[in-house]
Amino acid sequence: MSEPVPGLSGGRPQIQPDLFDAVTLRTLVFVAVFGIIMGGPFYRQVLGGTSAWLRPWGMYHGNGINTVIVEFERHRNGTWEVFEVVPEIKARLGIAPEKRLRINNEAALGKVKLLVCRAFPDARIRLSARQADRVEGWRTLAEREPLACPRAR
Amino acid sequence: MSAGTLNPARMFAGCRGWALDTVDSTRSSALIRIGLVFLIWSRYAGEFVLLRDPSLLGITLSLNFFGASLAMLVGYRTRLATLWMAAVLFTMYFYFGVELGRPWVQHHTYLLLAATFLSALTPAGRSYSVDRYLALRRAARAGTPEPAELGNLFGLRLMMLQLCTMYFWTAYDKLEGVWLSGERLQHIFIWYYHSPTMPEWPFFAPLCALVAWFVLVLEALLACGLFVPRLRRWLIPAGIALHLLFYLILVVKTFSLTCVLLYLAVIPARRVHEFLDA
Repeated sequence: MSEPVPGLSGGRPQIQPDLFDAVTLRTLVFVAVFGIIMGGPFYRQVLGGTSAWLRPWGMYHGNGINTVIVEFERHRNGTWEVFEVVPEIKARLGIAPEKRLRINNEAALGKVKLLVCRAFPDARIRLSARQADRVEGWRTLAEREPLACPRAR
Repeated sequence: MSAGTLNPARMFAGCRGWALDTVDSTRSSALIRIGLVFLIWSRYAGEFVLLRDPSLLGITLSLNFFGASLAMLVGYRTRLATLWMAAVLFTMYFYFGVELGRPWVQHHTYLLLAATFLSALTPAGRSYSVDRYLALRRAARAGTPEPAELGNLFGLRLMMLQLCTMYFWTAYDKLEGVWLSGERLQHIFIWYYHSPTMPEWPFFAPLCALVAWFVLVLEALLACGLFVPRLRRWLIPAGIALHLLFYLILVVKTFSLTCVLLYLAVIPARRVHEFLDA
């Protein structure tokens, strides 16, 4: 030690007997714990293991997966034009502006299609939709597909 | 042998000494112990109030949770109390989470469990604790000098390895085309901030790609560079800033703050001690 530091010099260095004083025991514990720290993710992420007892590390690994983005086009004056569907749906159907409209599967996409049908009952609309995929990036679900609304009974 | 030559035996001895034989200030360990309890309480105390689950199992778990965490916080029989807390978290994660399907299997719970278990391997009771107070009283009665706040820091070394290993594997996880193209960041951004439409900003896609590469490189640097003393002065603030940014823009619960707390295991214990005395 270069200089004495208050609290770090003088007196017995220990308050109570150290459980891990024995060098061998400390080495064994260190190796075993480090083995789990390093080996767990290796087993899950490299070897493809699935045991829940060992943990992989992937920050935000699952966040955003399956989220669906949509683009609606409306036929007006002989041309197709993209329109901001979310604010228009909220305004027309009285949905609070701060309410989040998230789509994370095809069922939720179906619900949004119904909302669009309700908000624009007489419009000719077509839809493009892509889903977040871990392998493909953006996977196409629909490409300029005409929106088929259920007929009112 | 010249000074610049690599000597494996000496390197191994150096690593071994660093990992297993370092005896230094115990204040970093104590601060981590106390910080962990606050993080555990901020995340889970609300779920363990007795009215939440008045069954025998629920009450037993609650009493263990608060008993262990309180003893760990004040540092009474510290190592035992910390092991007890780790056992409670272990039960929560593996029994209630993995086996029974309660939502206690997220990575922030696992990191709290790992850090608490590793804290039990540190001499965290030798500073800022009831154990310390009792030891001082015993020394005063016996007329002996105050016990020094010193202990073997191999548990602290394991905490640092846990932190760096986590960066290593999260960087490894990002070595895929979808991350490197920026599309994974687009997914995350849109899910949190722009669902269900793609932003029409012209710079959105290139910015996502740039940030994705930046995060990957930073995580890889943190995984290796925190072991290099000369790089720490840059990497510690960068790592903390990264976690605080995540805390600000994503739903990360206690994960970011636990990582920030674990940086105390990276800073030399003597520096922390001297800083607290200044």
